[in-house]
Amino acid sequence: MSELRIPLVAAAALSGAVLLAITLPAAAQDPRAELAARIDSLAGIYEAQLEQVRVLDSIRLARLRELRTDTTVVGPFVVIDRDTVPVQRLVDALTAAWSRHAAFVGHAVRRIEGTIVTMTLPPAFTPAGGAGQYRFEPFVWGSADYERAARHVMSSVLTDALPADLREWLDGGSVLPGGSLEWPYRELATAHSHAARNCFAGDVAACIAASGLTDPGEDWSRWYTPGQLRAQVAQRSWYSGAAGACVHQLDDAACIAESRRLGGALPPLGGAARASLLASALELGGTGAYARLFDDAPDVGARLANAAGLPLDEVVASWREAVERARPSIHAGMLDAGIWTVILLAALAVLAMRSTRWRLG
Amino acid sequence: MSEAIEVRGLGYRAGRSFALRDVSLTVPAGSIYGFLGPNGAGKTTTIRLLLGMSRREAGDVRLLGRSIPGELPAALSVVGYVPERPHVYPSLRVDEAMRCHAAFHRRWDDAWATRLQRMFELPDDRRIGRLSKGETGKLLMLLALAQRPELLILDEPTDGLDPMVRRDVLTALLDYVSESGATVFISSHLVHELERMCSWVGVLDHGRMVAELPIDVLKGGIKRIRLAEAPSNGQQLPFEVLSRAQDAFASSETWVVRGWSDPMVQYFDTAGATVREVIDLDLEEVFVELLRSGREVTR
Amino acid sequence: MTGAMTQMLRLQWLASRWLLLVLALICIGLPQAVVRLAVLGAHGADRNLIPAALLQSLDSISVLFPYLAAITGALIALAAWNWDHRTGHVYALSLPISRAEYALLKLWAGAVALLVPTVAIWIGAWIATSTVPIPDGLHAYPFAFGVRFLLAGTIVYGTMFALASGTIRTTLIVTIGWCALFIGGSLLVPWLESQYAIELLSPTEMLGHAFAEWPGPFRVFAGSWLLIDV
Repeated sequence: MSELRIPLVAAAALSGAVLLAITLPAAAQDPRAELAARIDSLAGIYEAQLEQVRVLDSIRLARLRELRTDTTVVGPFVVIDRDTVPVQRLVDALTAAWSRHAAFVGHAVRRIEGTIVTMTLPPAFTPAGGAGQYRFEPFVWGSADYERAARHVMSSVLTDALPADLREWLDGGSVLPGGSLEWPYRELATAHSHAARNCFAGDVAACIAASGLTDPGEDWSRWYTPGQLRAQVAQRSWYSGAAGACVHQLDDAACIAESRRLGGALPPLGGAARASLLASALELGGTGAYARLFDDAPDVGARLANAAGLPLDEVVASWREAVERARPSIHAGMLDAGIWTVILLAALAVLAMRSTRWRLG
Repeated sequence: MSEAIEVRGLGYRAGRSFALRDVSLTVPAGSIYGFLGPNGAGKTTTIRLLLGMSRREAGDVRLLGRSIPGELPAALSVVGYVPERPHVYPSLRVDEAMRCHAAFHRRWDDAWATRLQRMFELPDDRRIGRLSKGETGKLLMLLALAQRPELLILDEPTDGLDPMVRRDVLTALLDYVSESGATVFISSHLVHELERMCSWVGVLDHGRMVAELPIDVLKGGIKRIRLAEAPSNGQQLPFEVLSRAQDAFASSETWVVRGWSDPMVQYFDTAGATVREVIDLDLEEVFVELLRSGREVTR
Repeated sequence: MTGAMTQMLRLQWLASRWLLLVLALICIGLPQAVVRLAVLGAHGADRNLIPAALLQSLDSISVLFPYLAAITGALIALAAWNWDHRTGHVYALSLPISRAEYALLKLWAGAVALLVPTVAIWIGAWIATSTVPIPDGLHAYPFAFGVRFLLAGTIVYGTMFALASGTIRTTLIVTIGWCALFIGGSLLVPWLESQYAIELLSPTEMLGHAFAEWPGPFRVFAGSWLLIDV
């Protein structure tokens, strides 16, 4: 709940601002100046509220630390063990996950040392999250959930610790070698971009471009045809001004202008695909690959090449082949489902056959 | 096998008010057995227990030597059943119902079924739900007969039918019986109808068997006697008195007795009474007297 | 026995032909509607189909298909027993076959009847996917879709068939039992959780798990119902 608080406060404050802006009297002498002043004052209130939330979180974190009854250290992680919550299975899963990934983290382990992992009960016992702290509710389904949770901890911690440029490039994706490539395949197969289509067809340079590893400047034709750029503008903008001219009057220059206004066109491949590329580089690099991500490098592509110990195009080619092999099968699980259906039908048939003939009272 | 149906100590309870208690009956093979009883006596319930449609609480049932419900499918393959109410799916057409029934009965006689259908004037393409009551009765009889059963169990098969239809249905039944020697177990409260065709009669009342014997014995052994100077109660009698009543306008009494034979007149001579009249009863009167006496005993 | 099987099939057909006709029409029509609607909503400003948008639209509308499969299975199962329930089972009980044989014949006939909407949906899916342009990188899966529909329909058909084959008393007991379990569970679980500070699964969550997670037969409902996919 607490992780929602900041965006909630922000949303409340901003919506208040918008509401006020709408209801400001039309008779105001200089409505724009008044509106700007009002927004500034609301932004001040928002900042103050935000600060209070941060203080609250710190207090809660401090309380949490007082609450701990015992701790278990798993590699760089400190799992807080409290009587009411069963953490042993998480500890086991985390131990297994860490033993698999410790080698490629290498000496970068110091960057994540002391990360606190807790398990909490919803809703009353939920302490706030904070920096260096990861919370999970207890799982009841079985070991697969704990494995997923451990994987999620590892992935989140390693991603959060990455250099800023790499984190920004990941665009919300989180990294861990050995993950499924089905979603990256979907991204690659369905991206509305000629660069992505060429990458899908086997062009490694197009893959490098599509994943945003090279800066196209404002030459977005390396990513999109004018029509594809128009489709992106249509998705990202209200149809007014340059966007309207772009979408309705098919004005290519307006599309570029609107993309510029939006902070640039988005690279064709999103966070999941890029995270899988990073994971692929880590897998290729093996021991210490994660640590090498922190070595000095001019750009993200160079970081990936450092981590993998290979030229970037080889890293990308390897990733592309792996993604191509990972095409999700529509038939996956169908055989199992068929077998289960037959078993269930047989069981139900037996039940139906045992229905009593003594039906008439 | 000399018995088509053997029932011993049959017990069944439905709710608080209705029960069959210790019902035993024996239907000789080749006989036409009239199963009599007033409405609500338990005739339909007994038939359903015979056919394994309801679960009995006590007793044994054998149909054509086969134990019920253990050997039910084998027994039902040679039993023709006409229920009290139509049981065939009302959305089927007549020809569809016949085809469906034929598929489940190996002894189904297609030629005879067609002959019966023509005789009963049943239209092929009429839905069963749209048949008249008489036509439905005929169809049910057709289905039961055309499977060439060794035993026919008929639950009020002519109830509610007009005399013409009733005659057609019973004629077809009797034709089949005379040709095949099949046993018929027919339940009805239309006593005079059974009187003409039955060789055995069983009477059920309030879930108990009141009587079971050959019809001629039943009718011959139960008489109404008008007596003058009738002897008082408590004397040892050579017959069973089912009822006795003072005549309204005379000093005589009327007795209904069971187990009567003509030489018994001498008993009254020795007891100082005079037998004025010995009257034969028809089956309906016998039935009524049996029920009355049975109820007095249980009261 | 062959004659009996044929007749049972005939009875099933007669009892459910109108239902099957309606279901067949829906099964042919729905894939057309879904695919066309998805395609309509997936055209970009460049007038080309955006593959990701097509999949997204399809994904949001395709939720109708598992419901259609479940309703189809349930209705066919109910139709299988409908005539027997209406005539109090007397005809069925007077036939010279065991109750188990009779139930099995009915189950078989109903399962065959289920093929009618399955074939219809397969035809509908095939027509729908072969009459719209499919962007590069995407493929149509009408046959797999038909198989999924058949599996899901069969599961619900079998469940409803078993339930409907029981006496009204049994059906009531089972239904009331389930209701009691769900209502009681929904009340009891939060209370236990608050009393003992533990996390428990409510019966509804368990059912959700059985549908979506547990590697059981209901998992087929949670899989992909997309007619067009990568």
